[in-house]
Amino acid sequence: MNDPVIERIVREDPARHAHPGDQVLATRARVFAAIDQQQQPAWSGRRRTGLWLASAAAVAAVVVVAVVALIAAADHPHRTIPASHIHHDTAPARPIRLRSAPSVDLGQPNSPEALLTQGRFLWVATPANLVKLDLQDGQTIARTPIPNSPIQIGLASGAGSIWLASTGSSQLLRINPATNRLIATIPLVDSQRGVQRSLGSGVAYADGQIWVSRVSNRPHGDVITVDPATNRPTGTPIAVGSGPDAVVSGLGSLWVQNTSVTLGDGTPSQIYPAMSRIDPRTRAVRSEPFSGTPARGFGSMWIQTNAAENNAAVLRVDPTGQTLARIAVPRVDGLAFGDGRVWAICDQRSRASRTFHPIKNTAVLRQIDPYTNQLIGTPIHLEIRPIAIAVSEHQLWIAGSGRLLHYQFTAG
Amino acid sequence: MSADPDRRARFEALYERHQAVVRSYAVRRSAPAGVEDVVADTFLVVWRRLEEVPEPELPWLLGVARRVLGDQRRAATRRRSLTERLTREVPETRGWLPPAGLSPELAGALCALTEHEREALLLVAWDGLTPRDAAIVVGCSSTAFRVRLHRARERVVAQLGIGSNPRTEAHR
Repeated sequence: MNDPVIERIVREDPARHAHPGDQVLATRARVFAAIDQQQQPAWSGRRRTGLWLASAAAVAAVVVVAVVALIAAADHPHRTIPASHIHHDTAPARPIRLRSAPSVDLGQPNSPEALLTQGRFLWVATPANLVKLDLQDGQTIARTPIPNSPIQIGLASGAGSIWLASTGSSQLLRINPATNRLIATIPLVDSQRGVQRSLGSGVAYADGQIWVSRVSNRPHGDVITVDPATNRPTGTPIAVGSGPDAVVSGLGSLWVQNTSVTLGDGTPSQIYPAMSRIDPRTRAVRSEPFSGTPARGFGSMWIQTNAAENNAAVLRVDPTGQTLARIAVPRVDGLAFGDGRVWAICDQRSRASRTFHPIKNTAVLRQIDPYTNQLIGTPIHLEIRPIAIAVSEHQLWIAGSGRLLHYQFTAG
Repeated sequence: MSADPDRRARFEALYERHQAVVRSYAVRRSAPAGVEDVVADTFLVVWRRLEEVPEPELPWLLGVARRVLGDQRRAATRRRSLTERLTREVPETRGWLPPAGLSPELAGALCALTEHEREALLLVAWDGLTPRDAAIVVGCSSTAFRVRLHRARERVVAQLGIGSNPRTEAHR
């Protein structure tokens, strides 16, 4: 620096001795809870004022819960806190009421498999088409034919495009949302030397790149990145756990769901399907001490463990990987976030424990209060077997059994 | 969840990149109890104005933090004025409060500067900005900033009796 004045002042920099510790996480939770909260309905001023006051109290409670949880977790070998240990300093919020709107039937062979909201549109992936609907009323705006009749599909929005990946396929599809046309099919599978690969249904946009999961007949799958500017893979694929499926961007990382797979010799993978977490800048991978399907909301990751099973639960995880809460949500199989709640679709009950014999009208929609981490309200029974959920602009959509159910939030 | 995942992802990346710098900026200029409020309020402004964030991001971001700090100080002053009116006790001095732990010599030297001069010196010394980026933070021309920095430096040299060195940061 060669300047004694500057050097003298630098020596006494107060920030050199500051140790923010847990405050960093608490502030992060506070910021992201606040921006998520901005999706509240535009109700009357008096009601909104009340809601803001309630929100402020609730945000403060989240901070208290986060700090208490972090302190409590410090000595725990698995960095996990039983839900019973988390103090709830506020009463659970009142459940939000939903009004059922007309459902949408896209017709065969257009059974909806995946949902994505983008602005005022709802994108619905089916085995035959990517269908663009008006988010508010469900009117069909466009249908984009997609090849190969995929069945388990992932959708992502990023770099001005919609991206579609499907389990078992070899190509990532890129759709222009302005023209509703398929503009690129990007080959991402290069099976060679006995290694067979195919895509999982995980696709996400982060740090200017598209991240896609790939399954192989070897113990490890990987995540491959694509440059949207060239539609070409970039860098070396990143090895993760076995059978990588969902990929979600959140809290500065890519969260990869791993699953058990059958290897080339017919044996199941011995790698425990713990979740992989990728730093998008360094591409370093670390394994988290939990497994399941990730989703992002309210400044946290929410991991569905034992999805669709009776003992299913949702783990709430903070940016460091600390588990803040474990919320028992039987048969949970999909999450969405909006209007100040976590929305969970839960699969049908089964007549038999080992095999699935569904009991009609036993699938439900639940809501979780993110400030107390509690299920609130009574379950809403669904007359379909739900497989995907999306919430945006005060509209809630559930896909399943060949239909789209539509609900709207009400102020009451 | 979000209506625009691109927007959300961009904000998240920006938060991860700069939150530590914004926190340090606040630590250097705010009472400890107010630091997290400055960080949170700064990024809430950033979220609302994400489409306006220019390249480079950091000077603009610190400019927002500076205004948030200003709002915080004005609110504190209003509260203090009300208390003063109620108690009829008028404090003797008002002005820059040095951060805790600063040596009396440096605190005295910095207190003797004008607000503009002090901010110029601290943006370069503590926040490590170039004069050009620091000028964006305070909203003045690069030339005006260099003049402030030069004056500030000369006055600190006189106050502390440090040997003057012509190669200052102002020449970067």
